[in-house]
Amino acid sequence: MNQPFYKRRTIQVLAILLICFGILQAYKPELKKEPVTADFNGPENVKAILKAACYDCHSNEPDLKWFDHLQPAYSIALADIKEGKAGLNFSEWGNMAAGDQKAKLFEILNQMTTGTMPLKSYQLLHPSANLKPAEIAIVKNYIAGMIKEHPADTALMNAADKQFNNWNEQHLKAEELPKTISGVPYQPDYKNWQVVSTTDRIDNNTMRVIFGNPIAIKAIAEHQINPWPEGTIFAKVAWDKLQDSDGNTKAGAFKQVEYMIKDSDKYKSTKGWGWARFKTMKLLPYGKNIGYATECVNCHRPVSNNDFVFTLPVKH
Amino acid sequence: MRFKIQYSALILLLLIAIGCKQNNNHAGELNEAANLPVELHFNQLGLKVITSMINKKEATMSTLYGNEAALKYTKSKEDSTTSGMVFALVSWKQQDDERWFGAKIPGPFQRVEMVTTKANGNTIRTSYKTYTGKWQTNPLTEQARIKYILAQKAAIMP
Ligand code: HEC
Repeated sequence: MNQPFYKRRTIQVLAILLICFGILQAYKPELKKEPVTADFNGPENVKAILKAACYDCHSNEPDLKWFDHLQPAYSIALADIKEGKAGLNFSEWGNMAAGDQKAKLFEILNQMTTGTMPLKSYQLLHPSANLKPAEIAIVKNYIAGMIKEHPADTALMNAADKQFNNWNEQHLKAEELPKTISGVPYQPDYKNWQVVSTTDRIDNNTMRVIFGNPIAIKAIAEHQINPWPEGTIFAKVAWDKLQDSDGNTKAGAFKQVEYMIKDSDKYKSTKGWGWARFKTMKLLPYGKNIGYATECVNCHRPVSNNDFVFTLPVKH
Repeated sequence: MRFKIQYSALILLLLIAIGCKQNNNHAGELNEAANLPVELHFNQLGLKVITSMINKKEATMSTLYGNEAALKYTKSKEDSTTSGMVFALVSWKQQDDERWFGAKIPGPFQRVEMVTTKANGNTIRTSYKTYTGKWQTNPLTEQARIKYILAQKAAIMP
């Protein structure tokens, strides 16, 4: 029983798919062209790697391949570019303050070494963006060169002394506590919590203590930390490092306190965590618009398999 | 059918290959080497953080804890010891943070040093002991260690 070619079922299905594919092509929003105002200014060999692996989504000069122009790939590319550029745009690199550039570079490196960036979906069809260990090493070498540890200057020491001498314990009432723009509150009680770990940040010359509320400490004792239980709160406090000429380092001026608050319902849109940072002794909330927490989540993506927590807890 | 199985196997292999590129970041694990000896029941002492410090030459990091009296002493602008202070200084060897290039975290646990003060007539008596597997005194170095610990100021926590 030989049916004519065009009556075969597979052929019919294929034909319908092809027509749908054709119709999809009609929808093609424009990719807005934006100028390159302050392009990444690192060494050429580093820039070449970033250009090949990252610029398609993180710059104003994406180089879309012919198949990227076909729907639905095109829409996916556009969405990636929009989201990617919101957090990092190499074409506007020079507009960032020097300190922010340095912090961003460490974030970039950590996204590369953990395989978080470039996006896996992208690598499948763009093998040239597949970073080789030697390429990552070049970037790492450049960024490692920015680590500068040296004894504290007098300005740093004076700032610490001044803070200490003016430090009076504040007893803020609940309604006076600062909040982020999305309503995540400052929690003054962190100082009475137990410690989860400490870190020595040689990338930005700060030292940190990470406190955990009683729920977090119980989870560590029972080793139930992935995911962390509802109600877990971490508070990470950062100070300037004050190093003397012998390499002995103590805590200097208070920089900020950051919180991660686990509430899967309330903070559903930010991976189940409320994110907050309060800077300086004035406890100024970080984040000018409601989207600030996306930045927190994106930076924590390398540990998405660890409930978005970097800290390796120490049982005390 | 055969063909399909081969295809799926290929795709699966491809996915695994991509997945494997992710370094093992020890998800869900604790910092076993840094854990404090369980017999110390350190968390149950009810001490609070005073400050923390790093020794770059020795590649160690420490956290200083204390009871309320100790905390008050390290926050005050004067240097007068009172009785009833309890200090505990916990030290670790440092290790690189595998999850963040640019950070160091506690590595192998080294020791706890405790300094306590007690009234003795009109004077304050200070005593020292250290734990590295068992509690010990250390007549050779303890005066220097007591001096070092009592010289620390509280880290500023608003
Ligand atoms: C296919 C598009 C694409 C490519 C290529 C790509 N990224 Fe991304 N990147 C994104 C998207 C989308 C996000 C937002 C977070 C997410 O969805 O994972 C992002 C987020 C980031 C962030 C976090 C930004 C923030 O919000 O703080 C960094 C850092 C980053 N990428 C670095 C890189 C680096 C470095 C490369 C090249 C090695 C790279 N990306 C390649 C799409 C891409």
